[in-house]
Amino acid sequence: MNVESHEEIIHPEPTGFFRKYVWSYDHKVIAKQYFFTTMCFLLLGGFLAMLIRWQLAYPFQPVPILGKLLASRFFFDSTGAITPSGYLQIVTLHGTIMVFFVMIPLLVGAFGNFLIPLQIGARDVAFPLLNALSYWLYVLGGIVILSSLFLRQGAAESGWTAYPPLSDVSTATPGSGMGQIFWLIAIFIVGFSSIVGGINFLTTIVKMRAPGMTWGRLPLVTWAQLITAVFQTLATPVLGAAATLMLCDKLLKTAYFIPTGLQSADQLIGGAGGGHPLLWQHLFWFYSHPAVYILVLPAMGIASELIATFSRKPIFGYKPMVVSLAVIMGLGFVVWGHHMFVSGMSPAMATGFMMTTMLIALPSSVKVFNWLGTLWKGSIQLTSAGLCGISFVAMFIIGGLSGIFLAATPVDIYLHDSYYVIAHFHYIVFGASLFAIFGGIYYWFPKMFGRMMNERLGKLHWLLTFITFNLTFFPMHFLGEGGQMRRLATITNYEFLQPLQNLNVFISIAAFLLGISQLIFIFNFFYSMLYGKKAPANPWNATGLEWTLPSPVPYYNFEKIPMVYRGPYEYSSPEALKQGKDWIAQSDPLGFEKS
Amino acid sequence: MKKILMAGLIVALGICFFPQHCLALSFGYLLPNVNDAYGNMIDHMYSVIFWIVTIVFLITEGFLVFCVIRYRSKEGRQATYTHGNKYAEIIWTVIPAIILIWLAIYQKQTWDFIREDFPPPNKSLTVQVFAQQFAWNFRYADPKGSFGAPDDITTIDQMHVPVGKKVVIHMTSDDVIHDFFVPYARLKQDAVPGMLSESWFEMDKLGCWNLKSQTPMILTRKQFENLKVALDGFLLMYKVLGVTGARKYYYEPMPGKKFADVIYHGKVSREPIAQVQYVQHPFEIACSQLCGIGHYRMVGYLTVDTPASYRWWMKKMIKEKYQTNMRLWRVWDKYYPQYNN
Repeated sequence: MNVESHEEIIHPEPTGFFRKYVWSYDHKVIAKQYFFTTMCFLLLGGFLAMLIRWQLAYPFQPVPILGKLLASRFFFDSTGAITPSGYLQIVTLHGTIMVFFVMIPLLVGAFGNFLIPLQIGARDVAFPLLNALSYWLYVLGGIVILSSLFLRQGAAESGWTAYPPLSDVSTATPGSGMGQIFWLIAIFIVGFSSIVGGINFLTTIVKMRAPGMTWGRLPLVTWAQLITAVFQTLATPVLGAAATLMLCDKLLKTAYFIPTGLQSADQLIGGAGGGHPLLWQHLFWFYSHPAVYILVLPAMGIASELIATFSRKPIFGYKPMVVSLAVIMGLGFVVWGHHMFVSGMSPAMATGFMMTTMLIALPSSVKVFNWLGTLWKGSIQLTSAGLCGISFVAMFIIGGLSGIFLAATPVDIYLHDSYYVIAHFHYIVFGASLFAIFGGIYYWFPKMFGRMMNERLGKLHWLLTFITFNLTFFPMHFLGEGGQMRRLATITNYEFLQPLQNLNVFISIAAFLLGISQLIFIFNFFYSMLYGKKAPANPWNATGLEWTLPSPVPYYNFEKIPMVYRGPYEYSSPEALKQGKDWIAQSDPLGFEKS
Repeated sequence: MKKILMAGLIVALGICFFPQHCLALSFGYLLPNVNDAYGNMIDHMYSVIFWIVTIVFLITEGFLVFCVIRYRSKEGRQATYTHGNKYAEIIWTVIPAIILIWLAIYQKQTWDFIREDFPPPNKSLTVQVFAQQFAWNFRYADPKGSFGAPDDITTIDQMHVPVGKKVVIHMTSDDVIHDFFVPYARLKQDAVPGMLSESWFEMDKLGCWNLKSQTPMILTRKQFENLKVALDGFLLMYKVLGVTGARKYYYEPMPGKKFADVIYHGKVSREPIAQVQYVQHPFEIACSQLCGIGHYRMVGYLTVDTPASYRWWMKKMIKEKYQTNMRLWRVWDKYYPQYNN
């Protein structure tokens, strides 16, 4: 790679407010934009989850305060209670927001944008304009999905999976009119944003690594982002295609997903017919199963970084870690059918998907063992970031193990679409990914804002979140084993589910506490941003290239493009110990070059 | 601070996992299963995975907690510098691989039995199920065994099957995707419009309600035949217990009814309602796929009969020429005539 060509600043730092903070090309500013927007969506999505838990514990009872304020609007009836239609809107929005508007943009848009150039020693991403475009497309998608709340018949009601014909036929449910059209447009736009971002990051990581940053020296965060970008680039177009087909069904009266003879509200639907509802499920899950990995792979990268740094040890088995990421990518494309074991798909195909699903558990378990190997004989610093990183592993184990029940086709017959599934994927997406995100925020906050977050509050937040999270989601396994189905506005209509209602109340109370605990984090975040302790360049004694830069990182990142001499996690190496410290940066010159 | 934190960590891990997991063990948690054909196979598969997973859980989480405590940073501790170990990698790749592949092969037999080994038509009862928003429609063949004939029996939300008889379900949906879920029978199958879904089961226990204690019972055929059980004359009622919406269910005699048909050792007789102690009680059919705003109240009832009570019910249906929702079944016969063969 040619070092000279990077040396002079081509674009001077913009000075106007608009170019500096709004339409900025700087990957750090875009990362912060992503960060604050996703955080707002996270609050909204979490708030919707509280409404779900209220409805399940106290079905059709007026929601305190809010119900009164918003009576007869949005999801509420005139008494301030949630209506059945409102409940489905809440469920749909919660899932859609958390997957498409929080986890993917937060892990990729915010963390990827901020960290990839800093970790590979570049001054920006490959296509800064596309980067800004990607963010603003995401904002546009967000505006579309939020504006669907104000439609007369309400937002989409068919769940985040939007299975036709429920979603496709506008008379099937009130939200399947304009609400579903808004949903499809929003998904198409964020999908587009995701593809643009993926191409950008792929190019950046492949082409813009600093001299000496070989594939074997790439930090695992960046490796994970690379694999995620492949998923985004190859899988998201399928979702876009599916959304387009359904939009055609709704607006142009085609019948891609509508079979012949379909009735709705006693009327024959679908013109020519001849479509098939399962086609959507195949297209949707062809994207959305890889999307599940988009939700967890970057978090795996972050957790690897946290665990290595706070164990003061190199990552155990760097190569197996990378290989297992690649295997997850390969297998991730051929496991989608495990969402369809009871859909009526051919049982022989289900067997095939069961086999691949069992196999994909293998790379995940290899990663878990390697994290445990990293902790082993380390010198573990229990900072708030370290605790979150370790919690990632603890929660990922539970979420991974419960997945084996669901991968087993016979057992899935019983557990499919039950609360067992809810427990399983919340252990992965909330327990694992969100803990890694919290850890990542504690860890890189100094690099982003130049100040430290409060450790005491951080640990308190970790402890409360850890306890209330488990009290909320672990009992959901029992609900699933007791037969409770997903997406029921209330379980009380079933005689066989009556014994579970008390457990539902318990879970809701735990969930409310979980929600309240997050206020500590919000306070800590903003307080530290304004009044926190000034951060040194390398507060954690970490080895990555980003820690050689001052905090916060200056415009254009690297004054001189660094030279990389060694692997990413050289903690406690003999070379370092000789210098009287337990870490050595990737760009520190080798001993013989110095002399 | 560190000590408090350590204590907090241990307590948190302790509170959060182990008692709850032990709880799951002691409860045996799944609902009782009454499907003789393969319910036990599913439950067996569940417990095989449960024990494997529990052992892995205890080893990995235990090791994690051990490391966090044993190797926590303190004065004078020096982390060991290592990049990994080839043999460790091989061991923890190969052993899980063997377990996972074994699991995959082991469960395949069960799956094939459930989904591919359908009982032959002459040894089973076929029932057509037509799902709609938000009800389950059932159709029984006429006495000659053909569907789509004018004297078929069609019911809504009420399904009767004889105990110990293999039942094949031919199912599709009128409007959106529904899911036919009988939790006690370990049966779950989507009803997809435009497509025929087939599944089968065989019930080996019967539901019954004890009027004295107002609680449900699940009985074997022998136990059932030794009780005097009312087949009609009672209504299932409930009262809501509080803000959580939990319900207390109870049976009450139908207003104005003095006598009920009671079955005892396979013989049906009429008895005064006041003397009845047990009522036949159905298992519930749930919808397990989001199907619209009435999804949460799409409840159906599956009554398991003895051969005698099934004959009694069939006779009553034929005598009354019982048919409901024929408009819907005409849709079936028009668009899906091939499903009637």
